[in-house]
Amino acid sequence: MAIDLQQLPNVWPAESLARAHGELIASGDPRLDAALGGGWPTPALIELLVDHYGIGELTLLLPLLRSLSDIRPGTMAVWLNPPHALHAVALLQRELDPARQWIASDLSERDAAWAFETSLRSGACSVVLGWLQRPAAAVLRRLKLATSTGYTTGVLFRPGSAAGTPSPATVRLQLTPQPPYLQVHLLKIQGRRQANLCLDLRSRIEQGRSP
Amino acid sequence: MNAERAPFTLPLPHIELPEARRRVPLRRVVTTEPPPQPTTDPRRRQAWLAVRLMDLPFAAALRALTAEQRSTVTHRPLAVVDDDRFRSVLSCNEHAHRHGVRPGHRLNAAIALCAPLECLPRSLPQETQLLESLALHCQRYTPTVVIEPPNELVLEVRGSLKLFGGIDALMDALAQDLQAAGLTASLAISRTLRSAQWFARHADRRIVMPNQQAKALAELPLRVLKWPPDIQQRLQRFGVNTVGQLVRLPRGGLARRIGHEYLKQLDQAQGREPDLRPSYAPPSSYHDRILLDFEIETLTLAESVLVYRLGRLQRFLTRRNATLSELTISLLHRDLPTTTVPLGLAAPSGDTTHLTRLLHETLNGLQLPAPIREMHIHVPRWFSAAATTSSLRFDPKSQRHCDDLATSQVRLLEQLRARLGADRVRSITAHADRRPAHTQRSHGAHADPSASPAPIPSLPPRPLWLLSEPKAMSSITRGQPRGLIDDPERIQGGWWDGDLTDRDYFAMRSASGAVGWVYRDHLQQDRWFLQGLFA
Repeated sequence: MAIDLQQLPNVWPAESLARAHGELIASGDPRLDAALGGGWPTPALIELLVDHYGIGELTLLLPLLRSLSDIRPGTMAVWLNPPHALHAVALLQRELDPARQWIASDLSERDAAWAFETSLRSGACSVVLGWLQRPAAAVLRRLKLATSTGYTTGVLFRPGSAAGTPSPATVRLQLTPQPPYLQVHLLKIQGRRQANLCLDLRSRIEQGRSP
Repeated sequence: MNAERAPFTLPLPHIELPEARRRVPLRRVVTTEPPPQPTTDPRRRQAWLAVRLMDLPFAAALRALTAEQRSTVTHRPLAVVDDDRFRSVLSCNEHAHRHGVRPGHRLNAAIALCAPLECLPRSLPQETQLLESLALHCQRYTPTVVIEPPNELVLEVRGSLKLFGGIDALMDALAQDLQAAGLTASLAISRTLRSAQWFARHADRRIVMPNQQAKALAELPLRVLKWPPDIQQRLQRFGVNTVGQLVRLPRGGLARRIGHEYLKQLDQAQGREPDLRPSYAPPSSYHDRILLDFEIETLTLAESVLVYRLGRLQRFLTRRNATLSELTISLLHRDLPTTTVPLGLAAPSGDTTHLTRLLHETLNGLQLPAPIREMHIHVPRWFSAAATTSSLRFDPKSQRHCDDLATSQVRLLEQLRARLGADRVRSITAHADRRPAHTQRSHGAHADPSASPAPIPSLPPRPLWLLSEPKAMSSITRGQPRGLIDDPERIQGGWWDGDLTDRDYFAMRSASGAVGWVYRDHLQQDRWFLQGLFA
């Protein structure tokens, strides 16, 4: 006689852990949603490992950024050490208000990490995006803690070489271009399995359209 | 001359004035009729709480000593002597009391009673200071605090009774505060300021209800009035020993014998005359001088001292219901000029925890040129705090009360500015110009920006990343690069401001997978440049 694990009263699926935190925000792509267990978990520390910029890393996040600023209208998105300058018209085309973005560039690694943590903890931001080269494990843990203290989602961009080192982030994605697709390697998500996806973001990237 | 002129003056008709009216000058206070008892609405009644500090000179004199001196002195018989001719004892401690020394004794008598008696001189400035600080403290119970030198405070507490849980609870709280400050006081509550003062001089914890006031007042002995000794003697010769007997005397005669001033005091005590006195107003700026016992060499230590002293500033602000918008901290060195650390806030705040955070960030970026010998905290001015009600809404998700979002945003921005630099946090706004070099402007971030205007609606999609400088694509020398996606968008213009632009823009999919925004510049021999990245 086969035993169905789901039927046993004392067994709960570990996948439910990921939903225990807060809301899930649709990522705009059904396959990514399925891999993430329904959408981006919030508040969470989302780690994106990217070596090349311009491959669709922001397009992937745009639905998240939009929903986060819609949930709490009037809040700011903070960009720390972005690799290039943001384009106001492009933001407007993608339904984000450029006046509600605070941008701090050319910060030292230490200042950027401090600003990241402070902004997350203040609870005054819709989302905080930061680009750090080599954050120490302690810094990552502090960032993770700050996301839950301030109930704010943080997005951390790191170089792809960090894929081998452990991280306390809730979600870790490695983005690699695989023309004409974007390969998303879900390295870690709390309570769920790893996954490997190839997303076709071409139309979204080039047209600036929302899904 | 005068004698010659005299016959020509016309004799005026002589008017016979009544005797009494001639003697009493025709001033306002015609005292033959008592002023009517005003009938006040019970809600308009006042309740004055008088605090008479019994050993103020003693506490003030002790305060002038250092901690070390104080600990040695308090175990011996100790008296504080007045600075009059006789050096009479104003107040003494328990040891001296056991030897028989009493307030009012002359110094000679006191020393005869107790040979090892230590005498401290009275310190009037210290007493005033102590009284003022107590008045400040009492402002947590009521905004109306009147200082009555030398040793009395009177509080109007009608509106505070309910808040503090009744007369007894209020008196208990006040007595406890005074005890913590090392003072004993006698308290009394009455309907008028002056009578409350009198009752406090007579007995401790006297609560006089409005309907008992006339009776209670009548029983008071004359000495509590603190009238000059000669008047008191004169009244005693009349056989007047209590206030009740005094009130029964005919007003006209009494006014002639003791003066209108004192009669007015009687009327004020009975609530028949208004008794207006200025209530204590705190000084208008804050200055805290921190004398250090040793030189401080590290900013960490200096910060902890400053944070401790900011607690004092916090109490100061709370008592005054005040907020500040700027604060200067001066670090004094032995030889070098003073290091000044200004802290500015975008919006006035009464919360020093935020200031502490700003201080931390500011001090982190500071280099100390020399050890610190002395520190000053100076607040040039403050603003009265607008009463804001904090949100009652409890956010179940974040498990805390929703703070005012605007406040937390302002605070975050101030914090970032304090550490990163005043202009490092930027914001961008779109500008109505098609040329990519002019399409947006960067400016210092605001906490509460106005919404951006919509862009030119028909613009083709723009890239999210813009390179700071267009990058020349050297590999393409001739013809078109591979991977161009759309038809070009031609951007021409700029003849009006000298920045002439004539370019064809394309979206281009590169071999590495990135999508770039490239252009061919007709003004630079059709060379190709990368302007941005569609991220």
